[in-house]
Amino acid sequence: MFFARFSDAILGVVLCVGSLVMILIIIPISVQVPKSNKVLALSPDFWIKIIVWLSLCLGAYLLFTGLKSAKEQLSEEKIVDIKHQKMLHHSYSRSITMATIAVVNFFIYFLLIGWIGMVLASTIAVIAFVLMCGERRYKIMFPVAVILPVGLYYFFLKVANIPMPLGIFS
Amino acid sequence: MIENLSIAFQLFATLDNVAFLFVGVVVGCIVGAIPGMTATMGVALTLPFTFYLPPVTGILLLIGVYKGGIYGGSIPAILIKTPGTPAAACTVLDGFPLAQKGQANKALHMALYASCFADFVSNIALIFFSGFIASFALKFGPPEFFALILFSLTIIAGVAGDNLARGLIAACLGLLLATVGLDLIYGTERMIFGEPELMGGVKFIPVLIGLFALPEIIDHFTRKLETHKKFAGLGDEGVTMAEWKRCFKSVVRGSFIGVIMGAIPGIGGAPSAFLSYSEAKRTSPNADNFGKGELEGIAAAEAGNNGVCGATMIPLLALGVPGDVITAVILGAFMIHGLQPGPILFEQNITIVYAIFMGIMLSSTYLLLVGKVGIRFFARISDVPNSFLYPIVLVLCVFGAYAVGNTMFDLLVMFMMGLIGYFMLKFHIPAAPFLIAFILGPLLEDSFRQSLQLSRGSFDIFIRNPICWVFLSLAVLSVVMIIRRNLKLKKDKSLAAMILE
Repeated sequence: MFFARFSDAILGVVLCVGSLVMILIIIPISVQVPKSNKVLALSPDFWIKIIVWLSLCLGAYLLFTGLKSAKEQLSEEKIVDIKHQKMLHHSYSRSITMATIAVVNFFIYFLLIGWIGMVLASTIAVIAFVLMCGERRYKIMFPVAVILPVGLYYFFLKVANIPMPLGIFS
Repeated sequence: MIENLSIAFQLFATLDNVAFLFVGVVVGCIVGAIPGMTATMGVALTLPFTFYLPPVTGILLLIGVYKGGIYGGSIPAILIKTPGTPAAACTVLDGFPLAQKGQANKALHMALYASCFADFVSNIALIFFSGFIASFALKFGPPEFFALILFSLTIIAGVAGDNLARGLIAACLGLLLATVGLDLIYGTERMIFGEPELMGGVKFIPVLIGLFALPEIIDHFTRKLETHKKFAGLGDEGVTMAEWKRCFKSVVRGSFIGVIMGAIPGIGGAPSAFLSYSEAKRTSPNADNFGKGELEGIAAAEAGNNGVCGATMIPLLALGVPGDVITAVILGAFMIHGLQPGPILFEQNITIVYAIFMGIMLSSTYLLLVGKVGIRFFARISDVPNSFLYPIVLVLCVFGAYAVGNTMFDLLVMFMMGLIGYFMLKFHIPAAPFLIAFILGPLLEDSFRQSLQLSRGSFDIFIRNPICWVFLSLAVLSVVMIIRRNLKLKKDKSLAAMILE
């Protein structure tokens, strides 16, 4: 699989590019350095630059070692089991699809909290995620989906004095 | 001293403290007993519930979850061959074969007794050594603290996984995230991009929950539906006095191994359990039976992993440096409650420290009590289907993260960290060094810049003092040793591959 073989190299590239973007764009734009500062090591961006340079070195190291090991793996692979490759590809695509769906659902959940409040959004989220897991025991699912958010809402409101957002119901 | 103890006792002996500690141990056992839920996740999810509690009560609740969680991990390890926590992985070796023989009850009881004994020994070590180390650390100034934290970071980044580079990458990312906010000296903006919520820096709890709970939830959705593992039954046999006596030597040895390894930042419960197990196997007359359901193996493994619990708190309380990721979370909890662990805590808040010690001692008794009474109940917990568990955890995460500052921004941070954490999981970048670096980052930078302010920009200040020399040398030594270990591992792997060919 491409990802498994080149994961070190991919991570190395991401780190190198990210570090360069930090050094060339983000740090100059977003870190304010007072003109009164005369000692380089006391500058607000000094520490950040050290960390980013270290990340760049680590990224370069991973890129180098990752490419080397990927090359070695390629030369070692003499017999290509097409059936096995297809199976791996299928399972890999499935996990990417499911991860994407999960992340999208998280952000829908986040948006719903702002709109319909914590309790209702959480009830919907529990049902959606339980169904996503392939669970079909509705007699357990619905009570859990209602009791858990309502219980937590009252715990935070009455015991901890922390009001949770109610969205359009407030 | 007596006066402080008396005040501390008054501070500790409240119904709230005693009750919340008990609740913590019960919750910890439940969390540990659920496969896929780690003690770290349990402590992280409990943290938001401590906001409204007084500091001692809140910290004791978390310590209860920690201790219960580490013991609880042995329950699914024995019953369904799935360790509830990484530290319980060693318990599987003999616990599961014993359960298959219909002696799960015996195995669970031995795990409980060994855990409680080791926990007690570890607590005594904590009480004796932390005060002594803290009094020594009172002599530390900013350069010494810088050297100490740097040493802790190198060792933690190194032992967090079998790849040093990935551990260091995680530590760098954590340090970088910790720099967001207003500058400590000049008060100027650093990477806040006009967002007022970021002025005080990225909050600890959304990062913690996002990093440790959400990636596991996403990862669960990507897996194919697993057939649920059921256990056969507990059986009725308990541990006899003769069996306890036979295993006692291994329990004591495992407890001391746990204490020593727990006191060193970054090692944690799993290596300690395996070392204790291998020592027991080496010296036991029943060595041939190890791995096939030997009671002494369970005793050694559990003593090893529970022996670290109190000891990991030694560097935390005495030096303000967390011994592992759970104590890093507890360090965060101290900070949230306005306390800074370390020598200053011993100097200014000794009564709080003593009250925590009292609670910690009580936690061992609670563990024995809760474990003994609840074994059959906790065994049933292993049956909770993941299809319900993960959505419930998600809702707990959302409520907990929102409760930090009553803002939707914290929820956004949590979800973003969840996404980052998932990518880290897929790229095998360990989350523990990230979190520890994120917590220690501001302390490291602060002590670094304070030192330079004292020396007016001269780096000589870091090599003027023998204490700095010791810690910096240890940091270099630990990096060299980790690199050597990694090279040896690679060599062994390639040798094994050659032999296989």
